[in-house]
Amino acid sequence: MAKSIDAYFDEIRPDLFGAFWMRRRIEEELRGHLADAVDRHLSAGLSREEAEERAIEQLGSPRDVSRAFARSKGVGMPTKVTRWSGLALAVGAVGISIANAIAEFSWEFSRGSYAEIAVVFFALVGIGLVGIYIRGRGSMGALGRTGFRLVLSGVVIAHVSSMAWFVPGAFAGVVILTLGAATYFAGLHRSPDFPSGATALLGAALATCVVVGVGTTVAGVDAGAATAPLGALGFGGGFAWLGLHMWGETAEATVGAPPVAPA
Amino acid sequence: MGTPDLIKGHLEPLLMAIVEREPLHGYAIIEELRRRSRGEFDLPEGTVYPALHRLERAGLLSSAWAEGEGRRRRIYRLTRKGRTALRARRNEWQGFSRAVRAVLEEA
Repeated sequence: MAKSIDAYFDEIRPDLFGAFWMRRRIEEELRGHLADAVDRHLSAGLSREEAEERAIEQLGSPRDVSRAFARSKGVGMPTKVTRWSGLALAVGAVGISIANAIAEFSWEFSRGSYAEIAVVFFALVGIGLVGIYIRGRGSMGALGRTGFRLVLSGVVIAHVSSMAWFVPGAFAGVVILTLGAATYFAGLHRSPDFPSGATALLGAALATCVVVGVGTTVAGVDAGAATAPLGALGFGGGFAWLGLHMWGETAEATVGAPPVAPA
Repeated sequence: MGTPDLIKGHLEPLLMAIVEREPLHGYAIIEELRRRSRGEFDLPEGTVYPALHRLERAGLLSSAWAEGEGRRRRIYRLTRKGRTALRARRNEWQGFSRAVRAVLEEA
């Protein structure tokens, strides 16, 4: 009975976007709305269960409602920034994959050359990742937003620890980065704003690289040769797919448009 | 194109028009919208609240909590800026609907 309304809020709560007090206000307002709607359906002769079901149905699914709130703030809308960062992501992802594959399998192509070339592509991917976050933060839910923060924390911890030659810190950074990426991809996968094939590919690439990487390390085998093509195909393909999807999006004219200003 | 699609660009002035006469809470606004449109504007109700919040952020509506019938409700009222905006939208709409009617009826 009351459980279904509570279940509704359990589902919508993590996906609401904005300050804590605003999310509280939205929840309280929607709860009041549902209570009024249930009363109305009860007085029309429905059972409590039917009344709650009908009230929830008329309000809309948690995902649609949370998305509508996010979009009303212009959050999660395709913009010029998200389109161009999508293109940057696609170019960067393909570039890294090619450079990575060449570096792994070509004797003439030194690590130094790889680093010089790849840094440009990494910068493009970095721009693209920020674009993904901007585009999807209204729909990726708390899962995706937490994942993104973990990824950033992992990168900073790993980088700073490496600079200081602090191996446990670097290892912890990589673990946090990996967990963050898994959470982030799961959040992106839930979002209706991105092609689920691309996010599934990223998740599969991450899982495969972790399994193969850990497996080969434990077995004492060089992991690079095995993980490089997988990474190139999975991450390169997944990010390029996401990037091209974002690049192909057009700004929506009506939904989330700013309200009319006084003449 | 269904009613929800047609209404998208017009929802905000409609909501302002609903609270023009008296301040109302979200559920009452939706009921009133449904009543005045004779059931034609039967929207997914969850889309109305984001629009109300957007209008409030733009300063066209203001809102405050109020107790009533044992329930706390957020009451929305039209601001002075909202009244001016609504008047402008009404004039715009009247001109537009006259023009559409003229074209359609001549055909």
